[in-house]
Amino acid sequence: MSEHKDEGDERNLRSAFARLRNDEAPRAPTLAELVARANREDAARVPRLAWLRLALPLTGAAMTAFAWWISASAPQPAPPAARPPLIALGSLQSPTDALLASPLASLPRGFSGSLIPSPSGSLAAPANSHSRAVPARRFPA
Amino acid sequence: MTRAELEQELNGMLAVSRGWALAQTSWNATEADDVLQASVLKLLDGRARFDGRSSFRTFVFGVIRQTARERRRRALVRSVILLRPIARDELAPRELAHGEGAPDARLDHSRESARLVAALAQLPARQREILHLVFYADLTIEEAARVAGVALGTARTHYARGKQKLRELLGDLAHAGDANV
Repeated sequence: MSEHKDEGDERNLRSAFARLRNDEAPRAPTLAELVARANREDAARVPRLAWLRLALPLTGAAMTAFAWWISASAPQPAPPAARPPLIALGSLQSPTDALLASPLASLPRGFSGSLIPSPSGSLAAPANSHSRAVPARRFPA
Repeated sequence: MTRAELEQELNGMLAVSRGWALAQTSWNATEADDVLQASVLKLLDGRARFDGRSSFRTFVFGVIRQTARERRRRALVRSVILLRPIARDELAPRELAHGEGAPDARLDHSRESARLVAALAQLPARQREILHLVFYADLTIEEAARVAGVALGTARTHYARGKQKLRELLGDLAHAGDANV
């Protein structure tokens, strides 16, 4: 019973779709019509894009010219001035001369304190330094 | 397949191919004609080449389906880039699947055909595709599955459910139509 109903439904659906297909059939284009339509669209598309062929090279040339003009009109930076060396190397005769010319040469012999100057300007000696001042000797009264 | 054979085959199935293009575009005739034209050009200039792995009909239907999808995707991308709301037609058929759209308004169908198109528009896309391919294009369920890109079992399920739903919808629409008269 149910199979008969299914078959009937399927037949009804098939006939409904067949009617729809018959309604649509006259509107279907032929292959020649489709190709002709595509060719017409192509022909209409070419003039619309033709300006691109001229515009692209012109834009490129304009941008190149503008870049050249910018680089040509910008002020040229002056060459850096030559600075004299801190120590005229040509004036030193030997490594000893180089040592004597350095600020370390003015330190007292055997100095082992800090090279950072104190607020008073003298170089401070550390607490355990040999150069610490010896306290004054006390004599009995 | 030579060019002459290809043209002959295509000419013989243009009517049913246009029907498939209509189904892919929610029965928008203008869009369907564009899809059909783009698909035919792909076949003629060799961008889509038939290699004989399936029947020629399923191959052509596959090309039409793919072309319609590409056009929908392009329309979506264009709408995102241009920040404009997308037209309902451009997202067809998926967004119309459960909508209240009346695609038959664009076509001059007989009353029964218009009722069928309106009922089809309410089916999910997969069910609509399988039913269209089986009943409109006279493909087997296996061929329809190949065109729709689903497994045979899935296609059978869509076929059975779609048929059931369509029967109910056509019954409802028939009652509504009678009430309106």
